[in-house]
Amino acid sequence: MGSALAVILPVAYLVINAVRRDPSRIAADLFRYRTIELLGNTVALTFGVLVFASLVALPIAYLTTQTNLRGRSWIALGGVLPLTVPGYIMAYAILALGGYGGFWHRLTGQVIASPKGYWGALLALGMYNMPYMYLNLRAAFSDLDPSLEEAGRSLGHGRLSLLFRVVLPQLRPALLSGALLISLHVIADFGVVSLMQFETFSLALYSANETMDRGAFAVPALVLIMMAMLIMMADVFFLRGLTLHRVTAGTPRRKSLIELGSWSLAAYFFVAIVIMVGVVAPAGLVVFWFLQTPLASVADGVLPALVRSLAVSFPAAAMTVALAIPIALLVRRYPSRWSAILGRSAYIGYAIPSLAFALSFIFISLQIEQKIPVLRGWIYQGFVPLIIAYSLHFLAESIGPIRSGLYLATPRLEESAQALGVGSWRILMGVTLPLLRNSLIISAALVFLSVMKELPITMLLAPINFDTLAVNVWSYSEDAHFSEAAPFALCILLSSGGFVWILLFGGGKTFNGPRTSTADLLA
Amino acid sequence: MSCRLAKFLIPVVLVVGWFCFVSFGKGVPGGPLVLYCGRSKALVKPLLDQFKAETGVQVQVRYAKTAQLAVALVEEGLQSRADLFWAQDAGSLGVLSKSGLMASLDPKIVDSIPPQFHNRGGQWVATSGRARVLAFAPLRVSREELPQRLEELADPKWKGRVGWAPTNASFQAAVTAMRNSWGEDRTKKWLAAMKINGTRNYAKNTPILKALAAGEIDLGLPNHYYLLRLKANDDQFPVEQQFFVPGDIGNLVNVAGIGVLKYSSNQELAMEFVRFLLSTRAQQYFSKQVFEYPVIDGVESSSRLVSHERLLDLAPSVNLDELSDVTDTIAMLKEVGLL
Repeated sequence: MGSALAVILPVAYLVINAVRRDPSRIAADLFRYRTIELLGNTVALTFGVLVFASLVALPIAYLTTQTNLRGRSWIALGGVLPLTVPGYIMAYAILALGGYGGFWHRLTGQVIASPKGYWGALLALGMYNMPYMYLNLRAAFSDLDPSLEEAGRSLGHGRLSLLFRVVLPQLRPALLSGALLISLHVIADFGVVSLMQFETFSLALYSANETMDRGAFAVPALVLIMMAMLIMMADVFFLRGLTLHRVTAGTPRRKSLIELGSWSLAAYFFVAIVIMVGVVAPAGLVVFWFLQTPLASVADGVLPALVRSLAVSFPAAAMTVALAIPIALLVRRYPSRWSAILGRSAYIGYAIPSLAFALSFIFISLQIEQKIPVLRGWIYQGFVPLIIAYSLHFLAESIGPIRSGLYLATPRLEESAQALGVGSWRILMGVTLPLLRNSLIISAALVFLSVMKELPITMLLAPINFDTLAVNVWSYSEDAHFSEAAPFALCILLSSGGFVWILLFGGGKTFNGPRTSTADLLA
Repeated sequence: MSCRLAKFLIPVVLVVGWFCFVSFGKGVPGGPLVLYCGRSKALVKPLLDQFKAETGVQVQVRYAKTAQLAVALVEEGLQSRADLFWAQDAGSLGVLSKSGLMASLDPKIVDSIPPQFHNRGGQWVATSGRARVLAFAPLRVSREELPQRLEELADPKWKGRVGWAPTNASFQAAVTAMRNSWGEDRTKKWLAAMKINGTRNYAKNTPILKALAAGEIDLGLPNHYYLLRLKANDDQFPVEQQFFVPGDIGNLVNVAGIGVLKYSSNQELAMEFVRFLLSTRAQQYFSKQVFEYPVIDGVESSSRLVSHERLLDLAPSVNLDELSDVTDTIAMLKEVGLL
């Protein structure tokens, strides 16, 4: 409950700042044709990115879970790795495919146009958000009950008709939870769309910040939050009354994998293109920067920055998961109007533009320090409050996988333990959490990768001199010192990539029927 | 389970505890200086190392966007732990000095540089000059054809051939200067004419130059040093730049500047750092390494830059304090539909 409350506080801060502002100026800012134009662009881009991400993630999830395609775990790795790339680096990478000095120019000597505008923004945002869709679909595909498909086949449906009438409807919750995270990212993005020269409503937020006036900033921030709430309402609407789990006794057995045969070539081709754009292009660009001559050697700064990045990312991931478990349990095991609101409130924390989130944290922590002088020096820009800020901001990312995991973990095991007289804490530690092991790992991984890339919260709330890898990449590349930014960017890609690698190939035992390793769920 | 949990938790607790410890103890007089820095780390870090070698004083830095830091400093108010604010542009320094958060600098520091390079109240000084220029693609436009004044860019002759960066703080500072020099109506008309003329919006300066090289546009309005850096890496880069006629508003010399926070408990040391940035060695570094203009005379500067006297001759006369009126500039850019 406390966590939900702490998510609401930043909203209250924004509302107070907005209310203080002269209403006529708010009206002048908002009620104009331009706002409609920008909102329209936001909607069009969000829609396009969702379609793109689904069209890319669906085949990859299908190939890596339902078919016998060789090298499935590698393909799975390629489906997750775009998540390790900071968004603006992805945009730079896609822009660098064309243009003077770009990839094509160096290859052939001809200058071609780079993807820009709506399509460029769609490609960059779609590519780096795609893993959210992929991870959700992947989990859903592995949970499909093959008996439904078999029933469909016995009724005379062909493969295609089965896909559209049996498989896809069952994937609806996964598509929706992926879509929810992705659309919240897209509406708040400014870095990618500005480089791609596509104007969305985030422009209003950005230019309000340039005026350095908190009141001006609060209004577009609240509009963005309202958009996020609309998206969440749509999510609730589409999920209403949905029952997908097996209602009769029995456990779904493992499905046999589909032989792709001559289709594997087409499959490899598709996967190759996705990995080229989503992984090889950004990694290649960073390596290219790395090979340029830097103004000054920055090598000595890389290791401390890595240590700082890890020192915040690990505890933040652990804490976020610790907060998400009770929320997900409450939402799933004790469904009620209140638990639903609690679950949704986490998404508000995620929808608050992170700069607004950071500013409200400054305000709140300074208020605390003023009221309780003993704490001075510990709350504002302290290490623990920083971890709390990350956890509250990224809570939504970690609730999703745990909730899906709980759909799968039958409450009967917990009930049996209870009947045997086991205490509820021991049931949680001994039964529920081990059942959720795979979901917990994915949920921690998502938060870890996000914190590795996070900027405004780190820049404003971290202890002084605490510049992480992401802050270094930004600070160098912002003023076009790309070769200095490169070692830090490379280090983000390698460490995040390595982390995903350990998750995929680390393996481990599970208690959950047919699944054998984390690789199975994530991969 | 609990044993493994403990194995995992103990190092986490230790690390967290250690960071709590090291993040404590800020704002001690005579202790390390705290700098809020909107300038790139590539530029700042070597100078901090040099300052430490010369004085033994460590400078702790918070790097972020200039506007974000300015908002954070206003929010912090007298609880701020920052001693210095080093900004990318004059606008944000103006906002802070208007909010009464800047201390008055030692008059000796202020008097050591030309009046174009400090604010009237003596609360902050420029550390380097960043000139606005006209960049062009010599393959498609010859030097003789180039417009002589910024205003001529709205000419139908350049329809769809010009690029600028409306979200960029340097561009916005240039518009603020135009409003002061031309007046509101003339500026607004010009901006609207530029928009109708199909001027293309880019995210920032480097993308403008890349677009010139790629043939998307023929003229662009960036800051002067980005091209010089690109050329230092690749002298074949097919873009050139030049100033407008002397005194034209298109040659605005915006500045990066620094000031001492009023509630700093370390003011003397902070002033020392400002003096260091205005020293010949630091100024030479700005010029030679990052191609920005020195704010003092007698600095041996890069051969790619025009001389100090020539720059002062080219630059329009602008009161740096007035560049802080970003709010009205952004309102105008919104009215015209550029934001």
